[in-house]
Amino acid sequence: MASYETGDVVLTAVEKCFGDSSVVKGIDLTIRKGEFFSLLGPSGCGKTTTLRMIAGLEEPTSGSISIRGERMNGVPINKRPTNLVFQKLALFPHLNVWDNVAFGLKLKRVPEAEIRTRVGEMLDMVRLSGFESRSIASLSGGQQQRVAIARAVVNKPAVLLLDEPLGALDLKLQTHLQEELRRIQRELAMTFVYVTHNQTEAMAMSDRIGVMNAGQLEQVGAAADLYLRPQTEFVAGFVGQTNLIGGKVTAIGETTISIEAFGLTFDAVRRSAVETGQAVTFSLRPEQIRIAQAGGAGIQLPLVDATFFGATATYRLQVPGGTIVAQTQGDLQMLAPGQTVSVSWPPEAVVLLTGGQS
Amino acid sequence: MQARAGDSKAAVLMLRMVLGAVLVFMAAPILIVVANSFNSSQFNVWPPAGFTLDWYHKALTMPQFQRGFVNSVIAGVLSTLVVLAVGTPLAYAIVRIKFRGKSLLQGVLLGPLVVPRIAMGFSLFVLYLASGSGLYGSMSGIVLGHALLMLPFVVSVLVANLGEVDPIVEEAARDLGAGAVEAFVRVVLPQIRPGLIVAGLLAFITSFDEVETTIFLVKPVVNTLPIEMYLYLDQYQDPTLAALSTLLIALSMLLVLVGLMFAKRGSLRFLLGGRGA
Amino acid sequence: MTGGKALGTFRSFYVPAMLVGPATLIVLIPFIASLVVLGVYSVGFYPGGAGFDLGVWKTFLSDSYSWTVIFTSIRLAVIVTFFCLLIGYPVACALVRLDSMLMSIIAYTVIFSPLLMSVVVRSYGWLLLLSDSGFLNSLLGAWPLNLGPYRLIYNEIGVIIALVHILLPFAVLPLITVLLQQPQQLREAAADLGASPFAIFWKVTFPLSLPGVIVAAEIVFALAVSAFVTPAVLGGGRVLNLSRLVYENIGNIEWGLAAVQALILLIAAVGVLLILERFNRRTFGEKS
Repeated sequence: MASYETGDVVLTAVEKCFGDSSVVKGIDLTIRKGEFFSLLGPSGCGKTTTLRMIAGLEEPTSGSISIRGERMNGVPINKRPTNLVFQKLALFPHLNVWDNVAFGLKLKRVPEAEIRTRVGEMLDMVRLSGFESRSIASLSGGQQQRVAIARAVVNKPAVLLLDEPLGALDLKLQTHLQEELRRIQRELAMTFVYVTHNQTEAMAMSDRIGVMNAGQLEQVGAAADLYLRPQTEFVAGFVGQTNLIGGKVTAIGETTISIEAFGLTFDAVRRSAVETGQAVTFSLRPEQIRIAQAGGAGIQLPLVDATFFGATATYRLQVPGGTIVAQTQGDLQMLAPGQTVSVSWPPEAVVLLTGGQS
Repeated sequence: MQARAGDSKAAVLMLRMVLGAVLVFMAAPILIVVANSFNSSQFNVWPPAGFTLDWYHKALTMPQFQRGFVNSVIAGVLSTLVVLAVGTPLAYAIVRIKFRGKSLLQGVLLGPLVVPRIAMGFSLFVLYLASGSGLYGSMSGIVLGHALLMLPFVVSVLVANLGEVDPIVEEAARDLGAGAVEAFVRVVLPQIRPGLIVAGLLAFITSFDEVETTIFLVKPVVNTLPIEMYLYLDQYQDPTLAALSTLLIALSMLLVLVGLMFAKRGSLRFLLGGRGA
Repeated sequence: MTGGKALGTFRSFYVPAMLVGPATLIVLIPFIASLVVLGVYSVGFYPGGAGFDLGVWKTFLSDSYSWTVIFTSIRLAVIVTFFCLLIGYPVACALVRLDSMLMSIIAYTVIFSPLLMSVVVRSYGWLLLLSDSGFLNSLLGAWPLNLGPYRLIYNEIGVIIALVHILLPFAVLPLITVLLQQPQQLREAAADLGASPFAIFWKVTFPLSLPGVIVAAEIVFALAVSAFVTPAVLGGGRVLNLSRLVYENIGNIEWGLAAVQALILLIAAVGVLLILERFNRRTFGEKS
């Protein structure tokens, strides 16, 4: 019962193998009560399998899963305090909107009057009042999505699991439903576990995000944490765009350290234990790089090319052994490829990646 | 008639004529049976000697036909129930579950399709006798035989239907609290209802009309209607059989009508060459 | 882990066993057992039999009368299959070109509803049509033709006509299926490339429909070679095929002989099926 205090969903050393291939390679994760938690990662990273193990659609090969302090291993899917919003919705085509939403309550033999109130309220909440007797096939994609959400949420599960439910919708509808989901989650103070490969979506909705890669959990944190303080190359690259640069620690000061990379030396904020001479990789976000006309402050680098996007502009800069990308507000500096520019960045923009190599 | 790309007019006209002739060919023996049922001559003389309803009276009052009809209905209903009861889980297993011996099972399932009905009847006859089970000449024996003949058809109809049911809706039902059986009953069964109806009708009709296997399995008390009709035809040729046949034809036309009424508007589109479907 | 393992066994063994078990016990095991008993009977093991004895096989296969019956069965089946395909193919072509819903319903009903009627009824209908004083002879004998009467029943002609009627729907169904699967664009493309309607049919439509033709032939042959009621009714005891012999030998309590004949019937039906299936696979690959 101790874990009840710390988290709603606790995964301990969870592994999953299908035959010879190991899909989830040992995950430890605590999801807090009432938070909107996203599992983010590319396709095939094991995030959906992890979700299906929480739901009870798959059994872990080893490790344990508990929800509200109760061990879930071996508990069949229909006996778990979770409900799932499926990627492909999986609405019942032979039932109308009302009967789809009432399905779970009827199975639990909830009294008829209570079913009426709860389903009615739920349809209100997802703004589908008046659609009760419509067939599923007659609904638009967005409406079907709301039915799928309502059908799961109406059961008041301890944890609502969502498996990329917005993936098939167009961008405008996605944004709209993201806001709706966030609103519903706040109103109900329900724990949401949301699986997605879309980092914008995860950042827009989540209290915390767990980034997964190749069956492992790389880093867990709030959106800003992951963006500003990524711990691994994978996280730095997957959450937003970045320059990954290899270098060497040359000196360690009180609050800063000096790093040498492509023949230049510059400062970074000292955040973790490093030794002089240690080889390191660091992330430098393109928008943290300032560019000015040649002769200004900073290092002088040749410009390879420039792309103008309206609100922003992207520049590729030549460094020994490669290029780095910088992004600025869409100012019309009219920098031409081939010319040399002044480049600088603040020490806090240089983030050392201390997590495991990927 | 809708011309398709690359049709020549002459060819389309010829197809039309062939179709017309074949429709006459297909309808002729059925129409003649109906017409002859009112023929007052008892020797099938054409043109009819006069109009009478006597043969209907005779057909409906002959005890072997009354008993045969009852036996056929009982055999039809029971074998349909048996074959659906064992065939539905079998079809489900074939579509949804991986298990050892599945391909062997599917191979054996084809067996009753390829074994000639007469050979099947004789084999079952000797099995019933050799096993000392008392199945020979009993209603249970007929029901078992008919279920065996129908299983491949029923399973293939249901496999096709189950293939169109997304397995994910079962997962959804389970997630919402349904047990495995409950999920099947509440979510899968309603979706394969058309298949169950088609398979059930197919099974009932086959059982009701079956002669070639059944004739080896029956004793007079359990003779089914088509067996009685066949035996009668061996002895007599008067229009009693025409009257009885007409009643059965009316029954099967009724089934066709019911089928057409139950078919959804759109589902008949395949009749128009699958266009627009 | 033990819980997971138990669940694994449950899923991989008990669940399929519960689903497959009833059908296997009630239907499939009796099916296999009956074929085994059939084989055992044919080599002399039956009540009143003398124990292992291939004598029945030897006697039957060395008797020229047996071979006459076997050839009659196969000849009838081949002729019926030929006519079913010859008539069924243009009918299927015509059916897929129907564009009026009413005409479609009528045509499909007339062609397929006989399947719902007993073979006894349909054979009886042909008896009425073809008998010496029946509809066809009275039509031919009337003015202005004044032909006949012709003997159309109690011989192979009547049996063949009635069997073609009874088995035609089984030929048309796979042909329609295969014709409907052909993309319309193929014919359009052929026409665009300058093919005449005649060339389109022989170079595109027909070759592509061959798998359906073979399926139709398989079904019709298997049903024709083992037909019982129709040859009995329209042959009037004068058209003897294997099915008839099996039936008569049971009446004569010749278990061993009936078993041998039933097995030969089975071999003929399955053999032709395997040959056609092999041809189908070699010509059209595994998929068809």
